[in-house]
Amino acid sequence: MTDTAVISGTTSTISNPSGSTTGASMVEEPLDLVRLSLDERIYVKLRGDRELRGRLHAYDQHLNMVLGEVEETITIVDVNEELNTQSVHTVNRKVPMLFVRGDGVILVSPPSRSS
Amino acid sequence: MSGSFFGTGFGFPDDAIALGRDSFRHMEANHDLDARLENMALEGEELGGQLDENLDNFNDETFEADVKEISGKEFDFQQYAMQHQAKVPQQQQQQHSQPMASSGQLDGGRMMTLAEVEAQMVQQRVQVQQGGRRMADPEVIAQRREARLNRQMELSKYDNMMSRHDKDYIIRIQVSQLLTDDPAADDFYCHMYQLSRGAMFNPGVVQTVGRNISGSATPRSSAGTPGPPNAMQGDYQHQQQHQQQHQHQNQHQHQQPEHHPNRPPNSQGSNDSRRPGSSLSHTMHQQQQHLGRTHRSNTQSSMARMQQQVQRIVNEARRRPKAAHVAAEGALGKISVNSARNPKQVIQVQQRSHSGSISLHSDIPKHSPSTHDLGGIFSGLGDTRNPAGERRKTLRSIENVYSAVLRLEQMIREQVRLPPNTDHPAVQNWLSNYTEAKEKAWAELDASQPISNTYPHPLVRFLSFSKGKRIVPRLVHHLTIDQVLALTTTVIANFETLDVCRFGSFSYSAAGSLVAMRQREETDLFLHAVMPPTLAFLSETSLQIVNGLFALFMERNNIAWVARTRPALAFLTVLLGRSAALKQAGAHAFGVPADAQEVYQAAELYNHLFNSLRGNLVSIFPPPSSPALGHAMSPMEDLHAWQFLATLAIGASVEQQHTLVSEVREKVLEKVVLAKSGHLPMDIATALTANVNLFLNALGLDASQVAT
Repeated sequence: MTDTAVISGTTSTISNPSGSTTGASMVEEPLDLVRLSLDERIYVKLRGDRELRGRLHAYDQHLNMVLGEVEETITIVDVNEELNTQSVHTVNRKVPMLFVRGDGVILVSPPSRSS
Repeated sequence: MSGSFFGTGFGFPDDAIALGRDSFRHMEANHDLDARLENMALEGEELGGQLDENLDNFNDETFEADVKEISGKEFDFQQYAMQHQAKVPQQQQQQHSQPMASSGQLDGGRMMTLAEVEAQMVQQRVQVQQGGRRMADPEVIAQRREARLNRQMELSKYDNMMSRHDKDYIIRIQVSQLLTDDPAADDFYCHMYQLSRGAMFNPGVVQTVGRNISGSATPRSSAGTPGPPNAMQGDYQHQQQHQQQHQHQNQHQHQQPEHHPNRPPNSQGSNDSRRPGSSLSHTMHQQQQHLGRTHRSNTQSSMARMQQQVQRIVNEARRRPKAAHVAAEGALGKISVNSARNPKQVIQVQQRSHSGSISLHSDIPKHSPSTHDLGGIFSGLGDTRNPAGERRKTLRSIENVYSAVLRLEQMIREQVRLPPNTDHPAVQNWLSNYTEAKEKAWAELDASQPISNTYPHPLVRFLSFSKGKRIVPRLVHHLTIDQVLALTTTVIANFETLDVCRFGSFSYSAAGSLVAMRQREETDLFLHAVMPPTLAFLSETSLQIVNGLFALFMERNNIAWVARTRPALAFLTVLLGRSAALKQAGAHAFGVPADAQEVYQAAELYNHLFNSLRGNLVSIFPPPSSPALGHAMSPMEDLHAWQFLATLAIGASVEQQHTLVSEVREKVLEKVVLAKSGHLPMDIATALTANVNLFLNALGLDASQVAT
């Protein structure tokens, strides 16, 4: 079940992936899916190997967002040239209120069920 | 205004406030030549460098010397000075008091003994002091004056670099950036915030508009509206502009209308194109209002001048509207003019016009009526087949209700502007729009769907989200009584399935955990947002309806189980209380005496309730949330339980009372002992006792009667 709404430059009508469409729940634009997640916890993937999990308070057409109770995860890959190995580790930080500039956003989705 | 008129006589104040005032004045004055002149006029005596004739006495010492006295012998200055002491002006006396006092010689040149010298010194000092403070101050005054002059000079070293014309030019450029095409829409949230804060300061003024501001703690931001607002609701903005205009009138009635750059105060319902206004002028109005009229004239005049600027600029802009794109004739392409409101876009997305999408929208039911019918049936099973889809549907309906409520609130804001006579076409138009929007909102809420159709009921699903709970009081504000009744009925009928009820029974296991906290928040939100309108409704209806709802409640819900939850207890308390009041009052309720049958019914219902709860009464008390602070927190938590017991006791017959007491006795004793034990702080102990007394007083007892 694809819950993620991947934002590209083009707009198109999206119907529910499962196929059942009733009039009232017709989603008109991809951004409407983001609207449904207002005041809910979401998962945002950003450029620079960063991920955010927080509560969506506001957004706009550029996907600038205001998130609350945010936990940011930065993934760092350390490449060791001599040994030709790399190790991956993550850095976490928590921010009570955050404004995210839209042009760094790659995707927005409800948090994965496992977390 | 200047410190010299009041306070200590010589202008240099000792207190910090006046000090600040002085330095402020100095800084302010330097901006403006006239202000400086003004200041100088006010502080006349503090002008530097020029002394009055009669104060300039440094060169007055003449000694009245004769050549004869000087030549030929050693001139005894000291003696001479002593002799001519009285001729020297008074200020000199103080300055030379030191040498004089040590001279040891009185008039006549006698040498004095030590005692006499001391006596003389004391006498002089007394004279000086008795001469008044004016005697001691001149030195100090001079020092302070010098210091002040120095400061002033430093501050004004680089003054008057720009002429007034230069300053105006810069200000015009800066203010022109603030010009907006539609200040009402662009600054909507700022205005709302200021209004709601203004409502704190002066509740009377902003009442009509403030009424519609959300009562919930976190006002829902519709910054989530996708796309530029223009596309979605063009006349929405237009309406907002009218609304802002009216806000101005509401708040600034005492200010002169001509300071109002936005629009002439009496235009109504006009369809003229959106005129540029400036958010700056609005804020300036407000600042002036907040700072009060007792502000110094400098700032007021500079504010006034800025306002004139703004007005001038706005008029200019109105004459020559600037387009966002400039396309020269014969040239290929457009040049876009960027401003604060029209920033450079990184991606250019063509907005599909919404009229197109709406037509698509309306096509679907026509083309596939069968799927539309099936949709209703599916949603019953849809819950298990497609939980994510159901969830999305619920979220979607929540969003629709939000949009509808926002539209309703906007219409209310405009309503106050309509002409008073009700047969004016504009009023009729508004009325029809309003009712239509209201119906739409109500339909979205889906409260009146038949009860047995789907599980859980759409309304219950709606209320399982906190944003759903928050919008209910705002919506209820616009609904009719019947609709509120329908809403209440549905909530009662499905009470068990409400999320808050499902929490209530098994939340206390992990007391401090995140989940428990969230559950608590949701319960509180429910109690504060959803319950009050329904309870208000209940407390105003007839006994018949109350009975009906009561019966419904007990029929559809497992009382013993549900009674452990706070919302259910609150509901039952109100229901019981209301029915008791109506039974007794009889004649008071709407002037119609309570029907005997209704009274009988109410009594029956009461007994039923009692029987179902008997034996389980102790369970309505919440277990201590954590053993350590259990006692500290419990006064709050138990309150609802005690209230319920008290209401129960009111309608109880004697044997029922006995049963009540016997069941609850342990709990009562425990609380009373705890309160009297003295381990707790005073206020908690009194709260505990008060709670218990709620119940005991209903029975005719008191906590003090309990034998410990």
